[in-house]
Amino acid sequence: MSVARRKKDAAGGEEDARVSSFPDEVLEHVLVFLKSHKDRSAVSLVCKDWYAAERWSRTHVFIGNCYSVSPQILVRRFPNIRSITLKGKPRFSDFNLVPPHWGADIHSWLVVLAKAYPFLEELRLKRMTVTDESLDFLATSFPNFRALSLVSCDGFSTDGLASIATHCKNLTEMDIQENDVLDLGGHWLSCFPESFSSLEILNFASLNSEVSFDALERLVSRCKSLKVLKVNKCVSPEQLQRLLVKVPNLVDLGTGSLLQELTIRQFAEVKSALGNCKKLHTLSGLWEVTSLYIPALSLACANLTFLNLSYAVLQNTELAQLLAGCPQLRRLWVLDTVEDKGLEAVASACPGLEELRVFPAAPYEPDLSGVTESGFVAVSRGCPNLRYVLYFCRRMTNAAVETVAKNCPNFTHFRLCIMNPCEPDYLTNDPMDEGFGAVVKHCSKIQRLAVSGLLTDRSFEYIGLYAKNLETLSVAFAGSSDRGMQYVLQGCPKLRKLEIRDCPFGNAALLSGLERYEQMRSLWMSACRVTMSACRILAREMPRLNVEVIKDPEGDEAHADKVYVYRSVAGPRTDAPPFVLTL
Amino acid sequence: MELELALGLPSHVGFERGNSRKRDSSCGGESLLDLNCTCEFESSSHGFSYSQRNATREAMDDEACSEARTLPLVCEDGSTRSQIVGWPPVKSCMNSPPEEAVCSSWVEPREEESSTYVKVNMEGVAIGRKVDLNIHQGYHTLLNTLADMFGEEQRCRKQQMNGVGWKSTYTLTYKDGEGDWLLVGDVPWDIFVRSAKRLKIRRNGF
Repeated sequence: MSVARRKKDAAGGEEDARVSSFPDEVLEHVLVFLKSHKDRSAVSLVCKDWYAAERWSRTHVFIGNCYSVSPQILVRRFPNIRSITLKGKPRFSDFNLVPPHWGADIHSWLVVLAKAYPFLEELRLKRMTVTDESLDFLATSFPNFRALSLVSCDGFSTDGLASIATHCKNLTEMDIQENDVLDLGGHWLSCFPESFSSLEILNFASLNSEVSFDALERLVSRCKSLKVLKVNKCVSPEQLQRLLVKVPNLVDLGTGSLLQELTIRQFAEVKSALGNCKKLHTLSGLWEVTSLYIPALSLACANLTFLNLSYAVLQNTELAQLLAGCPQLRRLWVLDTVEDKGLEAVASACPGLEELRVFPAAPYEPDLSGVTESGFVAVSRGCPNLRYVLYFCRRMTNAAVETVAKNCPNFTHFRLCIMNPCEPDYLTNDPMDEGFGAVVKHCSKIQRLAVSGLLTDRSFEYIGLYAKNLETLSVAFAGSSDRGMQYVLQGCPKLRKLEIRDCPFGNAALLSGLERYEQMRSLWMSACRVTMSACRILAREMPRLNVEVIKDPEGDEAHADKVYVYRSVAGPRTDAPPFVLTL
Repeated sequence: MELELALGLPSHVGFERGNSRKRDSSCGGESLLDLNCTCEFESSSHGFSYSQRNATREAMDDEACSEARTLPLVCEDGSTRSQIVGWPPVKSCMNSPPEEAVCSSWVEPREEESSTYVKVNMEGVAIGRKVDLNIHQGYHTLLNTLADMFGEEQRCRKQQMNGVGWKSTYTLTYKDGEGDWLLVGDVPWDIFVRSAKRLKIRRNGF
């Protein structure tokens, strides 16, 4: 077969044949099947031929830190990208620890992408700043654009969404989640042209303004391939019913508010419409749900694997009733209004549960009961397959955490938030060291850990000793000395993201990780004991790290209040605002 | 003696931790923040070992880290209000009622804002003053202005004390849009300027 081959070094002919005994184009065709970016990274390291084949065949790229690489470097390496996922700000920006106008603006990326990838189809952004101007640019620069997902982004208004709706003729996905978006009204939805019918995923649950129901109904009628529909709270049950009858193939439904008072006939219609959603695997929304609707909702839950009740204020009896209709449930998100009794209901109704998230309904009120250690233990007994837990509570014990860890050895994500900082085991008054120690001892697959409560260096010693698969660690108000952070940096070889706030870790701790940070995505330390001089040392010793400090204008001159360290092949940021000092 | 206004934890300026829940009766019917902290680890009832207690106290007391690390304060009605920025770590849009589901105020590019004068009263002083928050760059400059304005008062007061080792320790508090009195210095300056409606300089009594 005579196929054009890329130039190879003639001297190494025999050996080359052994490594890659078929033409590069064939290799590219094979590599197309590789989707995981980790696998692709591994492939690209095999040899130059494989690197070349991989870069030509890659169509999707995931960039976990937008400043780790520049758009120029991206387009130079990968000529055929159709789908990009970009993450921007440090995660603690979700909790107001990063000042506004910090950066992660998508616009400079879009300008480069428009030239290099005019055929770009998908853009998924998390914690980026996106202006209306950028959305308009996006909508008009990429004729094949199909999928837009904005999660925890800021800087845009509903006018930007209007641009997308107006110009993206082939749009299949518009997924708007938890953004800091200026809601100027629901007119954007009416901007989808009458000829437009390609939408498969529509999520506007987090927007507040009412859209034209007429326009929405027509849109849903036209889009025969609609699989995911998440409306906002302004859509009433009666309106929901009218939408549901048009989308029998829906797999993911986000209801609107369920507060409306309906006639018997109307209610029967809603019930019937829900009953027809036989293919639903995800259900969310459910604002202001009342017990009246529970039997109706249960009809839609026969094949449900993910139930998101984080906006539904339910009592434990209502939850139990709802869960009775969900035999296949794998993932459940609830508010702590269901209390321990509600979690006991979860334990008995959902033996196959793999993920549980319990959110606080009123996080700033200290006196509400919410859920406690006993609910946690109950769930662990009933749901031994648990892999992911996020649990907000006001009290906890080491014994309970240890029991949970032993009952569920398959945890990969363990995020426990005892809401009062430095809260000890409420029965023994001991630190929570032994509890978290038990988690890392018994759950060897732990990838993500968030710790809380009163913790000394001992807890970190355990983490360093046992958590060999740990990739992400979140720490707040914990530890007693530099040793704590050092244990983690020395003991966790797979650590990628370390985010710390309000801990007594100082320069020795920061600098002990000198050799580690290049294997990590990023380090965040705020309100710790790090000084500017240590940050300068780090920056000087490790030129391929970006060391950025945000100083508190009222704080000590020498103190580095917020430190963000990340590896980058793009060099220091060129767009840093004045309050971000690049060292 | 210069007027010393304190931001952050009263403990930074030598306030006795054992002295809990003193209420200043001169403040009448306004809802007051108790000036002590009711931190879990402060009292002996928790039975910590000395080193643990000191370690945590050290962790919380570090002067360099006073910014975001305030502790729960007790309000007059007995409930504890957490003042810590970004804690508990919930995205605000998860828990706001649907009407407030926008996560945080949409930040517009800085524009010229109209001046924001707020009334400032010092405890025990009949005549209040007004200060323009917008002309200040941050908490330090505000404190300087207030020290200038009220320093005179403080000097007069000192003369009235008869030899009791007077330590001029004041705490600056502000009233926000919801009517709550909060410690000045807990939130970023921008947010403070937007939300502060009144200021009050409270004396830390013993």
